[in-house]
Amino acid sequence: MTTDTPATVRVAGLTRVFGDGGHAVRALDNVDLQVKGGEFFTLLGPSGCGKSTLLRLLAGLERPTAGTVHIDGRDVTALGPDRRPVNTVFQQYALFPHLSVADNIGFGLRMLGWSRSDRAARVYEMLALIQLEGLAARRPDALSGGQQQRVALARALAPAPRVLLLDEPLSALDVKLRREMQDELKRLQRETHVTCVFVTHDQDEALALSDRVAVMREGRICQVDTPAGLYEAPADAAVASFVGDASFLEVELLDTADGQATVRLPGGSVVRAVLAAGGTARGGDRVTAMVRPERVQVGAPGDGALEATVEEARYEGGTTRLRLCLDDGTTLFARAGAAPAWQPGARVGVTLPDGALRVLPA
Amino acid sequence: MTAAQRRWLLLAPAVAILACVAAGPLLVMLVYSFLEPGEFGGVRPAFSLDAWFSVLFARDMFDPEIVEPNIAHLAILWRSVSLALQTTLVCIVLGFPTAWFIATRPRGTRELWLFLVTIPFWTNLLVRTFAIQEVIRNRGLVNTLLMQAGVIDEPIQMLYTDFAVLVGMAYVFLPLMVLPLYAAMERVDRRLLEAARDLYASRWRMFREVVLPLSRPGLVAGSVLVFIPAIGAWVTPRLLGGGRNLMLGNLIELQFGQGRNWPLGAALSMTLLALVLVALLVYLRAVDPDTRRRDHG
Ligand SMILES: Nc1ncnc2c1ncn2[C@@H]1O[C@H](COP(=O)(O)OP(=O)(O)OP(=O)(O)O)[C@@H](O)[C@H]1O
Ligand SMILES: [Mg+2]
Repeated sequence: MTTDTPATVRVAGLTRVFGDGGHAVRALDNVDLQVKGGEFFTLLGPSGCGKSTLLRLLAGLERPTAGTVHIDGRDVTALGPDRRPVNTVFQQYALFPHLSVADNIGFGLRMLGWSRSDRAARVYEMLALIQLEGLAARRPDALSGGQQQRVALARALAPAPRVLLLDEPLSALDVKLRREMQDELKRLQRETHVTCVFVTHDQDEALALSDRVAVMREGRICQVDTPAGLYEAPADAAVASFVGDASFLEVELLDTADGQATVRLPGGSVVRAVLAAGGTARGGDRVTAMVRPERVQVGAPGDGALEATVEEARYEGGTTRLRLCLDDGTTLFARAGAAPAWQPGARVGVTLPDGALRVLPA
Repeated sequence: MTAAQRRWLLLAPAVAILACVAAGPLLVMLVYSFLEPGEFGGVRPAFSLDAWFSVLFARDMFDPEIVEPNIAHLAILWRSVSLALQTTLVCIVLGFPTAWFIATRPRGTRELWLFLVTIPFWTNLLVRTFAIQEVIRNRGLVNTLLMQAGVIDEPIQMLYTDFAVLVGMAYVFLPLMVLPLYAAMERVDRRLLEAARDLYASRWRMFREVVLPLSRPGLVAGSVLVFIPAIGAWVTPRLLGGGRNLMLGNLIELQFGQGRNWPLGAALSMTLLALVLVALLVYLRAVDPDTRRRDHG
């Protein structure tokens, strides 16, 4: 079904401005993007950052103000949604209420002019894929939320689109069902090898599902990377705080050499840190460094390079999430084993091992 | 007092008004239709089936023993039903694009379009009908323009034709079709339209496969709203049809006026009511969710 073309979706200079004059909103601002064949690609960002707009531009439901969209190397910028080899799973499923489950799934095939028997075979194949064979004759309003979700997926997959677009398809489900559907989604993608562009504002979902994630903010793409890459090597403070927990410290940059930096912590001790690309800071500058909670080591007072007070301790099953306040007032998050029962107000010693800190571009 | 009793007590005034205003006159009509006509209009209190008999039948003028169908009445009945159906059809054809146009305007400007559609309702029926006369008569707007443009040499006879009646009726009743259609279309979820387009439906297929079936309740309601007054209409057919071809409404009016045959008028009115009830039954069957489910499944 899918060949390994270098880029199944290629977006260049894509811009969408809503309204005009003083009320113009730049929902999407000069976005470049490439999605590889068979990839599960996620657009992640806060509400209103332009995720849906980008997806709708890919689907052809929206026209760009500037820029181009290529699918499989073909320029589809001027084509309507009915002439693009992509299908969408909408947030509220948007199943046709007057059609049965089977007719919903077969809708796209019927529009494409498939014969009745070919359609029936394909619909049956899809029903088997989503494990709802028994519900072919039901109306959508007689289905549960999870079942409607599956039907919406099957309907979009039935015409074997080159790209499957999903706009927060799981956000209407409760937490437990959501987990199940995430697994289901990954299984469907493994079995069909379909290229997916998935929209969410839930970072856990993005990290769990995706091959690569694009973090968006205010109509722009801040960073595109694998989930591990985003977590370990965020490009800037915004990405770092949006993907996973992060704490930020003001440190003094002493020296830099090929991706490594030596920094002086507020307490005076000196550690080695990773230097993010794109920074222009030199020795002697004060810079912002980021650290992930599991890299922070917490011990008895006097044990580490820094002294801190526990402000909040939340047991999370297996680990405890600590909010610490360094003596200079900086807030630091840590994740500690459950063993010592730290209480708010307790004094602790904090160690930041070499390589735990990441110096971010200003 | 139980809750049910209290509810009935609260409903009592409404029920009383309905009984006096709606059921009362109907009852009077029903009774009149079984009496004999008075000499100068009105009725004589003597039981008779003559009125009902002559709705559909007539006796031979020379030999009352010979009974034959009342061709004149049947023709009028047929003409009225046919005109009402044609009017409904024209209103559907014109109303669908109109309602769709309004439903797809940006929010906030739709009210303006709706207002424009309902403007004819704000003027008197007679005034509107005379206005149409002005437009289509031999020296009227249309003919004058066509002649000046050199399209035709002689005026086209439009006024006092069946065409004129149909135009007038459609014009009068179009808002009754557009409003329920618009209400139904406006409720259709935009995302369903996008889903259809996304699933390879052209604009036309999107309309046919999604908008049309989902606005069916509006279509049925609009059809009933147009059909019912259209079948009893008599002002428009008389003014635009020239009074040569009687409609059921004209016939009834005649019996209560010059004809001085109130029982026949009453019987004809009840016949009209029966036709309307049939239309309503068709309506109820068409919107019944069970029937809908059956013919799609
Ligand atoms: N049709 C429209 N007309 C005017 N402004 C719009 C329109 N659609 C989107 N916008 C604006 O464009 C910006 C981006 O919207 P978009 O729907 O793409 O955000 P999003 O990232 O999907 O947010 P969410 O997570 O809330 O769905 C928002 O500021 C929004 O108000
Ligand atoms: Mg959105």
